[in-house]
Amino acid sequence: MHTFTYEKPMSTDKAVLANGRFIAGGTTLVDLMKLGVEEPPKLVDVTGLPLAQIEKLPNGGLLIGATVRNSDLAHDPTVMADYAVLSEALLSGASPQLRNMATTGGNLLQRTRCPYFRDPSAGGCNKREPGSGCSAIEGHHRMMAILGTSEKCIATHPSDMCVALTALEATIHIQGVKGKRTVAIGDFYKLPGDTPNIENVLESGDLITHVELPPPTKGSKQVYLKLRDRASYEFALSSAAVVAEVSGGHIKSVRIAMGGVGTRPWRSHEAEAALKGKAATPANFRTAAEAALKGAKTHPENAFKVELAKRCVTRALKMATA
Amino acid sequence: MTAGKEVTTIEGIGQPGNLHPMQAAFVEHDGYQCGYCTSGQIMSAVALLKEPIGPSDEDVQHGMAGNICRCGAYPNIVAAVQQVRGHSA
Repeated sequence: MHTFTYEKPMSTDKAVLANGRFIAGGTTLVDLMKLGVEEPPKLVDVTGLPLAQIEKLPNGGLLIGATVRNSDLAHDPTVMADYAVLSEALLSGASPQLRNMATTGGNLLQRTRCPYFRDPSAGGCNKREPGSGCSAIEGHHRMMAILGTSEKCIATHPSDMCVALTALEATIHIQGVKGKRTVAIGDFYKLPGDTPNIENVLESGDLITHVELPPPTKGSKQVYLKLRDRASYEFALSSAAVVAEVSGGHIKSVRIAMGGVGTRPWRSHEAEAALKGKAATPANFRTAAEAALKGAKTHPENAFKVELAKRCVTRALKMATA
Repeated sequence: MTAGKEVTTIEGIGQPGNLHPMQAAFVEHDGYQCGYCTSGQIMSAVALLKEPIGPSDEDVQHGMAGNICRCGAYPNIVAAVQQVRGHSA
């Protein structure tokens, strides 16, 4: 492990100016430092910043501080009542010990579990070392993505929380050296393309300060369904977050996001369009799932994910409209 | 990052002759073999008592997830935790 300096600013202004690598729970970064994947010369601890609150907004929305712990967010009474899909997604991820440490901002920035990314001795990885190739494409890729991939990278975005935030249309508040701005979660993550090392729109010094949720959709039902190799403490092979509003047996509105299959949390506007105004029937759900996976690109070991993801979306829609 | 904070270890919750109820329950239910994971299992189990989880064995299993016991003492661990929580396993 390389040596590094450490500082703990007590204001967001100072944190932004510190110009280092932010650390909060450390559940991603410390692992990657031990593995030699990340070697930040300067760690800036953000746990002293006043960002650990969950506040109701005048417009009925919710403002979640970046250092709110995953466990606290999952068990917050407002989140459980009005944003159940977020609570379910959080509780389906990692383990209680990790959730007690991991933060909202950190979860947004957690990095892929692709084994070639996490092991510098395992061969090339364009995400870890641009230009070194993608070992997963010809190697082991059972867990890898089938949506949003490129010739350079097929790594899956690992988060459950971000899938729920995508279905909830969250907005990310950022403070940078040039001031404050907000970015919709749908615009936050970048596709790998030719530069899989660039994963989001954050620039040097940018600090995530809050995640804002819009007012809850009245009368909507929310579901997070996660399919995986083990019943707990495992990443998704496929997951679906659904926020649906049914009226008279028809879909009034629906938002669908998928996890475990995309290079970023995967919103499916195609599936949503296929359902709008349609009867809430299994056949229509299946049609929507087909639309969601239409652009899937598979490799031999992960081809099963296409059908698995379709069934996952179909079943989540069934649960959310029952 | 933990400078100045209080850290409770297994030694801080009980001692021989004055065991924490969770430690006593692990002994009673034989919740270990080699003992390698036991400190972590018990500390997680003690923390779990304060967490908002359901009453079932499955809830305990999810609440204890991430604590790996290669001896496979899981059923006995769940029984010990449930006894302390006041639920029969």
